[in-house]
Amino acid sequence: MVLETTAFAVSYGKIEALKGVSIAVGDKEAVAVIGANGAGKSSLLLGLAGIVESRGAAVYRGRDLGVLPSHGRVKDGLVLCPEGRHVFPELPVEENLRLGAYRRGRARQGLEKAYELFPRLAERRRQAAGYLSGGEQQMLAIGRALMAEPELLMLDEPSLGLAPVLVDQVFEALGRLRATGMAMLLVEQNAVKALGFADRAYILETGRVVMEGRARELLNDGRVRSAYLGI
Amino acid sequence: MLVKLLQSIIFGLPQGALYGLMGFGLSLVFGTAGVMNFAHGNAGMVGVFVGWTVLVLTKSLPAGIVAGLAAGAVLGAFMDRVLMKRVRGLSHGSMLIITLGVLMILDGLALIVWGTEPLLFPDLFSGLPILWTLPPALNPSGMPLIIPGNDLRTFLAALGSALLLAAFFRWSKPGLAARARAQDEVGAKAVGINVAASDTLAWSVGVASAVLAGFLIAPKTTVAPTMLVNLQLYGFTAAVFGGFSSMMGAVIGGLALGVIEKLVVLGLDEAFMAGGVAGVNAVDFQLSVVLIIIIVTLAARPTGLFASKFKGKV
Amino acid sequence: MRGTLRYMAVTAAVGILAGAVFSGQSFILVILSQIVVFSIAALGLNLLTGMAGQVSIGNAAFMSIGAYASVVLATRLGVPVPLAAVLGGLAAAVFGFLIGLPALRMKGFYLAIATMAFGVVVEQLIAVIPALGAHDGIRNIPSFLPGELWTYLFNLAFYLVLLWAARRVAESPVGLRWRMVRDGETPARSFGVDTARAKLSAFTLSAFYGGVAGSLYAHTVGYIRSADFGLGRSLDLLAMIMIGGLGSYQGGLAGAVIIVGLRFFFSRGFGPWLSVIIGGLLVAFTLFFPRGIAWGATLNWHKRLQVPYLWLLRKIRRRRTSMDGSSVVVSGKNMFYREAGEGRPVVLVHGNTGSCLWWRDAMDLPGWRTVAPDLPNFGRSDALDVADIDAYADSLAAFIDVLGLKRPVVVGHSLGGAVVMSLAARKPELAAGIVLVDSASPSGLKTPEEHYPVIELYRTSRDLMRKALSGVAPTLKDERLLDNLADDAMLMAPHAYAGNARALERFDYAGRAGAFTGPVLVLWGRKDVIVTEAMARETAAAYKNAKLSIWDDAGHSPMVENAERFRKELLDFLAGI
Repeated sequence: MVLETTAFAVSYGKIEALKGVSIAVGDKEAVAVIGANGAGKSSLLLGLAGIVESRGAAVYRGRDLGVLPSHGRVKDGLVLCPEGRHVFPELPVEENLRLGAYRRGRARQGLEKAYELFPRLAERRRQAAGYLSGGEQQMLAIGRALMAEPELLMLDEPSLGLAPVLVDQVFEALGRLRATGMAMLLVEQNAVKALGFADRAYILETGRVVMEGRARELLNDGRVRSAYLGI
Repeated sequence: MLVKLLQSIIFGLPQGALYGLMGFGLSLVFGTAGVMNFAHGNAGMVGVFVGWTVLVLTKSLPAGIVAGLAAGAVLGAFMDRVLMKRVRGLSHGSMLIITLGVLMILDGLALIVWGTEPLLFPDLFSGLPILWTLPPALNPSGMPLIIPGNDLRTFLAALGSALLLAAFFRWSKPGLAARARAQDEVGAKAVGINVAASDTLAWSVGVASAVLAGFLIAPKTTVAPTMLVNLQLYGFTAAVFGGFSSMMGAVIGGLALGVIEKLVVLGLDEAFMAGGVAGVNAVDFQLSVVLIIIIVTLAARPTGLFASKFKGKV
Repeated sequence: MRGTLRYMAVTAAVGILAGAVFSGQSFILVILSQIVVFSIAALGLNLLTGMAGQVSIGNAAFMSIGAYASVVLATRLGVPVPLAAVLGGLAAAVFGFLIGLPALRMKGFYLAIATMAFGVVVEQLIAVIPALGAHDGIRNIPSFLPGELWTYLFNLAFYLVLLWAARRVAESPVGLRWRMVRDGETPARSFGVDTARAKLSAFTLSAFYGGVAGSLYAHTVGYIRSADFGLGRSLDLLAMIMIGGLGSYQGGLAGAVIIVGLRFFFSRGFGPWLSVIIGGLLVAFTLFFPRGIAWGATLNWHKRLQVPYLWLLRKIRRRRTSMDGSSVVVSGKNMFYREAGEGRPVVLVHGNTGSCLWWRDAMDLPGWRTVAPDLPNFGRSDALDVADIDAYADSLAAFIDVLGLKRPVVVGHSLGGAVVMSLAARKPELAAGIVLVDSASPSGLKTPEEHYPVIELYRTSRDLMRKALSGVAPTLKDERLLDNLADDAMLMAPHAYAGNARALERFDYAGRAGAFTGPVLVLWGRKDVIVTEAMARETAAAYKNAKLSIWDDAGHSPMVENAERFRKELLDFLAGI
């Protein structure tokens, strides 16, 4: 197991966004978390990355995450590519990527890989990230996360706000990463894409896991199809 | 006339470098941690008092300066870790009011500990003034330009340290982290930047830079609780010019401000003389003019002259 | 309006009393005068910062402008002082408007810098004008009334008038727009608020208050210097509203008592400590009591101070009003009820915080015998150990049995509706028909968790209860009835305040309610803020034989809001049974 949580919960003040979920991500496994807006998907990833406070247990590669600050988690290879990209708008593309390797200290190889994965970024390496299009920013965010050499890459809504052709491009790139054996935890509103991509999936509803199983089976499940896939 | 103009510029630049240093510290803390520190000047003042005390005790100027800078760094870290951490996420009003409270507390503490008598501080630099006479073609009166020796060195020290610090934050790894954190906090956390440490670094360096400005101006103002109050206002103006998120901009803004200020005084002097106004001194208007410049600048560009294109951090 | 008057009267009484107590001690009267004067300035700052959300650290400059303008008018042009004070305020208002113009484009920290700069400019410029005494200021300003007592009362009168005006403005649409700007300029704009105008009006009015305060200060103290109105003074004003309570009316007064009081207390040789203390208070209040003293006082008023009065009220009310009804013992507990008329029975069941009084104007139904009980836990009936809908329904069933009412029509309002649903679902043969008035739906009524602390406050505050009830019956005009309903509400068992809300949360007859197959009338008022239209439709849909009637001009309580129409509609329904 790369990651395992038990009764993992996130609250904002009095509002409980995530009410104690238990999920697991195995070696080389791609796990999707789907659910409606406000189901607690982003809170799960933000809590795991240590960006918001959480309760309950989360064990990452045998280490209790409870005591580890967010920068420590990145160092250990638990890396989040946050929703809404959160690139550094005034810094050039290349400097954004270099910052991804902030905890690694070595950037050259990573840069090559990132540019290979997203040739578009190489073309615009000197441009300030704020000038990139939404799709390019998403590529940059993923590239930046890769620079940290993740062992478990957490992706929050990588398809949000992108044109369908760009969504395909992003997922195609993710597929290539997956082929390298990188474990992934993918949060998506685009349930069809996510279930088509992942090995296993969890369905979140108002802060709780209501279903889990093999992605393929969920994709064919009647209830899931009507509630989340709109089929 | 040319001589008067040049002389004003020569007197203005060292002042401007101090304004720039002050503006640098304010921009650093605001740009990184998102707090406009109204206690910046007073925190620097306390550092200068500590430095003065160590100087008196040890009779060593370097020891005093190091102690003062260290005290400033500690005070900055304290304000960040103890006070500001509690209000993160609260309104800007809350942060603002806390720094105003700290301003008052530091003012009172300085009076309690060191009293109201102004204390003398030695010139950090000495040296004979440099006289420079322009060729007669340009200067029919034959009046020489005066470049005071210690002013020149103050100018170099203030500008040099401000530029060095700005360069540090531009190119070093912790500096890059601080700038990344300023631009996007979630992004910074996602790449593993220790945001809390970045903030503390900014606060420490910021307040220490105010102490440095204090040391440089202390020989003129003496060491007193109000010594940096006006300098802070100039620092704000410099930072407003620089757009508050660009540290280099604040330094350049400060230099411009120093020169503008002297030119305004020169202009007012001439105007008063021409208009036959007696009993008023142009120097009395210098701060007001600067402050009106702030208000006008803010009204024209509400987030500063060179504000970031990508966001309005308020 | 009534509240404002009472509030003003209390403030005036306390102020005059303070003056009377210290009438011989001129030193203390001067302090009181200054407190009142600074309260005016702080109130002005609170309009700007507390209500409109624009932080200013230059408001002492408005005091300065007002003071100098008024002194020049009064001493050199012979304008009478009260008029000069108002003109001083207007002069400051002009500057407030002017500084408001550039400030329109600034927010947060930038606005703070600009207002601070403005304050320092005014201080510096006045200090170089020889006609205004330059740095030395103006001495020997005549006081306008003989003696400190009259001066104080004059200042107090100004404060009261300005306090009244502030409340009127803040509760008007102008004040609403200020608060919308404070809570978010973009949403405010999307609601069509002209944010520039709102901010400008706040700046201007705030400056006017500062100016009046400044001129009163000048004529009270007799000596002004521009340095008296510097940054330190602006920070004092800020400290006053932070300590007193941001956005409250009298918070500035509470803060002024503390700050001015401290200033005098520390006047000899301890000045530096004062700075430390005021700064410390600023930090401490911002960190730990961001709502200030006024909020604490209000909370105490709602939590504790009304308790003795309520104890007395309960005693008297229970005794007095018990006489015009009857009591029966139902399963060992006294139940109180009122009845009217003769004929087939109709039982009227009140809602949460209710009593039989809610049916007062609906009980006259010719041809029918109407019986309205106080449910256990409510009104004059005995309390139960629990607050639970089924328990209420059991008591109601036993009550109907004890009184020997045969197949009554049962009418339930709000929580009472849930009780009737529970009764009808479990004993469908008992009722001939049911009427559900703005009732909880069969799947219950969820009270947001953050609302519970407020519900707890109702228990100890009749004021809040009355306000809440006026929202429950939004179109009710009869203030006396509302007073009586509030008094009755306070008779409720203490545990039932939160208990009833929890009971409605637990209540779940979805799927079971339909066991009752007799005729059902569901009534709902469009102005209801508790029960939504969807819930009313859900209720009607739960029954096979239900009719839904929607009133456009009533809120949650049709039977008190429009009793006539209610009786008519009820009689129509009864006629069909």
